[in-house]
Amino acid sequence: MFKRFFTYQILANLARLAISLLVLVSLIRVIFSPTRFDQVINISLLVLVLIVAGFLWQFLIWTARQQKKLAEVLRLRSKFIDLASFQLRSPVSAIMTALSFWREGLVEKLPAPEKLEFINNLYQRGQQLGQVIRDVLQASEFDTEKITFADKHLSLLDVAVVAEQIKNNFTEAASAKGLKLLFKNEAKQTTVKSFADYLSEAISNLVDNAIRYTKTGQVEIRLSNESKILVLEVIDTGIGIPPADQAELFSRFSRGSNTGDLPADGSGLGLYLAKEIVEAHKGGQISFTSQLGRGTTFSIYLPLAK
Amino acid sequence: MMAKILLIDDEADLLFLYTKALMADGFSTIMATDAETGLIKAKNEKPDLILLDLVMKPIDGFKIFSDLKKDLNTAKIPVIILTNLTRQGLYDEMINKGAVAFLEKTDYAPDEISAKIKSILQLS
Repeated sequence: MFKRFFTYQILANLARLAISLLVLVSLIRVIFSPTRFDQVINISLLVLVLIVAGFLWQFLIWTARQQKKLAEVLRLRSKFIDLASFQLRSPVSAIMTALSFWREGLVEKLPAPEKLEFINNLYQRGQQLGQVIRDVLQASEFDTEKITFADKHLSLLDVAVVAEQIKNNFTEAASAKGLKLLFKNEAKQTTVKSFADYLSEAISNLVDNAIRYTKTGQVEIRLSNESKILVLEVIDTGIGIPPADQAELFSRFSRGSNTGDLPADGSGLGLYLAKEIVEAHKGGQISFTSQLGRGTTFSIYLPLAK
Repeated sequence: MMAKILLIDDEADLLFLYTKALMADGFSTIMATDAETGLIKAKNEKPDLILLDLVMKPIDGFKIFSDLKKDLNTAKIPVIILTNLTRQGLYDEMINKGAVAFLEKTDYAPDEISAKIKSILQLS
């Protein structure tokens, strides 16, 4: 890919040089034409050269766009390699350390409660590894094109049931950090047309993020109705998102600058996937409001099923 | 006298495993799950060696490493970097700054870490 990138640059520079030379030579021929007949011929040649130069210029603009796209792909790839190497190594090293500990016969020497903790930790690390792999695979699925869920493939889904399930899934993680995880249903209608697995993934990513970046207080999942829309909010009392980072928040691998200089435990794809999934629903939208040091609210808007 | 090892790592499960493995190998251990506590324990407890992770929050291992090397009380304590962070030039960077070894967590089992510590401290 690097080779292609540099080939583009060399080709573009050569083309620029060729255009400039052609126009210059044609102009000189017009200026120094000995007879009127030669001048007419040379002016015609100049017009021809200018037309060709116009086409070449268009080609160069297209090439420049390709270069820009390629540079973005390279930047994302490099960021992905940095992040993936850390995110994958983290659970892998913990699992390998635990297995090696076991192999050395040290697990047998642990008292019963520590033995249980050892097994739980190993299981959680396996889950962490699974999550990173799932996020990366799903991101590549959405990467190929902008997906829109076709109506005929969707089924009726009670989001209240999904939200309740997600609340139950994350209760332990929230409690471990001393946080309250609440679910409040203020909506009269909670049925939408969706893919259960995808929507559950999007909401889970928001809740996971909220717990990750909240030190004290609570995370609340709230359902309400606005006209014919179901609004699902994930409200936290966390660290908030600095205004400078908000525009890029849904981009892949984006993280707030106040979350530390080094990678978090997540894949860096959670919010990107949440946005892609929500917007794949016809009329689906996602947005957020945030106050630094006070908390963030992510809102998902989905049309209610008729 | 058994050597005293300070482990600074915010991954509590790994810290637990390393501590238990080192204790089984005859080391005395002190734990810190954040950089600030690690720095205080390094000054107060005067360990023989420090095992330091780089990826920690809110203060990372780079900062604590530089603080340890600046302080005359802790500057001479050998520090082994034990991390999952791999990026070009990081190994050379940390060794040049004074780390006695740079170990990637995925490549070193607890018994190998223990052997490395023994070789650095010249213990049999």
